[in-house]
Amino acid sequence: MKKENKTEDEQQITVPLTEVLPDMAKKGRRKKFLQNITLTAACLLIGIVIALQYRSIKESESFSSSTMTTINDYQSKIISLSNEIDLLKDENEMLAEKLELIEGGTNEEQIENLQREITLLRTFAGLTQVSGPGVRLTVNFTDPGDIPRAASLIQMLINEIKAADAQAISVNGERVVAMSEIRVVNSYLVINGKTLTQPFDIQVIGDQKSLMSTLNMAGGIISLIQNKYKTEISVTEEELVTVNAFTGSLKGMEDILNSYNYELYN
Amino acid sequence: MKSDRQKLYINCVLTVLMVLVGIAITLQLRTVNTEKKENSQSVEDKIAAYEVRIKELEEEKAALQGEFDRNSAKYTRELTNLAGTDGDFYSLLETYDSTLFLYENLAGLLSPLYGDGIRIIINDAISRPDQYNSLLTVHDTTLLLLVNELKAAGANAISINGERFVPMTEILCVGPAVRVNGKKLFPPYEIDVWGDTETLDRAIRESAVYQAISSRLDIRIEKALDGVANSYVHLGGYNRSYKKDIDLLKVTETNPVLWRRFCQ
Repeated sequence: MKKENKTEDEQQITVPLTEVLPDMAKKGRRKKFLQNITLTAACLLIGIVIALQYRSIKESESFSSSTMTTINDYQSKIISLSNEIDLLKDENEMLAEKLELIEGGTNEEQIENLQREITLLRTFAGLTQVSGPGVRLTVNFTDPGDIPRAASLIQMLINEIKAADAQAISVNGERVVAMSEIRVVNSYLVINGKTLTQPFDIQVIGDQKSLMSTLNMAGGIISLIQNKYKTEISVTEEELVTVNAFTGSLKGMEDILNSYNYELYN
Repeated sequence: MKSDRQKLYINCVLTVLMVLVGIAITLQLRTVNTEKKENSQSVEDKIAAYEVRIKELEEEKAALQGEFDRNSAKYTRELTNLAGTDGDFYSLLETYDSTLFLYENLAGLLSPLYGDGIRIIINDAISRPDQYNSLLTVHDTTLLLLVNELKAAGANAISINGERFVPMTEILCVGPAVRVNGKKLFPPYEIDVWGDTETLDRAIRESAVYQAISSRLDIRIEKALDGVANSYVHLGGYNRSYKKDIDLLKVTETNPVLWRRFCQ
């Protein structure tokens, strides 16, 4: 009886196993398949989302770079138009003054007006001695042998001063004009063909605030010179700086004079 | 084999993670889209404002140009009348006007100006693996040194991309461009130099700066000869109101040497 029971039990177990196993395998495969499908779908979704995100960022990058170009172009156009308008306003003002004088002014008044214009032009070109508020720089190299090596830095210093809205500059009394060269020969500075010895005394007329901030800027041109060479540089604000007139050769001016045979009036 | 509880735990964690990733991606997408919308809106507003401003400025310029042309014609008519009625005074005025023209030329206010000289065309070189990009770019200092050599060689006048050199002209780096007379200029840079062609050509080729850059930058020197068709330098003018540039200057003395030289 016991044996029979055992056999029955064994039978009970064996029968369902043989029937269940293929079913289980089938269910397992389906589960795996489902799992794979879910994973694939999830990965696909994430992939699509990442691609969309990437495209969106790229689009926004290209959009911003192209719009920045447009904005830059517009800003440049506005600046150039404003300059042209300023220029036209000046010319109109001068012309209106000339017209008024030719219509109702005396001969003397007309000549005076022209002389005033000539003086303004001469001042702009650097042909008159001028004075005004500004700064004074003194540059002295401890070792004069460093001066030839510092030639390009000295040029950069003058360039930075011009960029800081200077209106007139002279070095050891020599006026810097449009065609003034800055060369170094041995330990001398040559400007307008004149030899200058140190200490270099640079007189500048211009907006003191912008000049001082440019010259005293950390990592600016003065600290660049001082980091590279042993120098004593002093920068002081001055209420009244006098800058000499240019006294050198006018180069092209003489060519124009010869070709036009004009007489100049001061 | 993993127990059911372990499996459940892993599935739960995975589900939570997936939900979190989903939320994060959605939030990110929404943020990017909102930012894009806001940015594009503000940029569009900015562009529209600029377009309006440009239109206004163009109208103002046209009106001023019209006024100038009318007054110019009127002035010429008055001068013609004066020539008929007071010949002596007319010739004196004419001389002063000529003087004015010469000083305008000298100050770099007139353009165009044609003549003998050289033209230097300088551009960034194409990127090479054996060179640092910085060495293949035209820097402000490169132009500054070149221009200084030209001045030392006796140039009468210089302009870069049509911007004339005046006493306070600066050359400064502004990102990929350089600033000259407050205006941004982009490469290639065309340096027009008025002066003796042979002297300028020799001086620039022998200069240290040319020798240092000629092998790595794209630089070309053209000789320009006045009178030969299409061979002359073309100098631009100073395109700003010069009066603003001298408003702090008080004239204390004119140049007597110059006065004597030209008025003998």
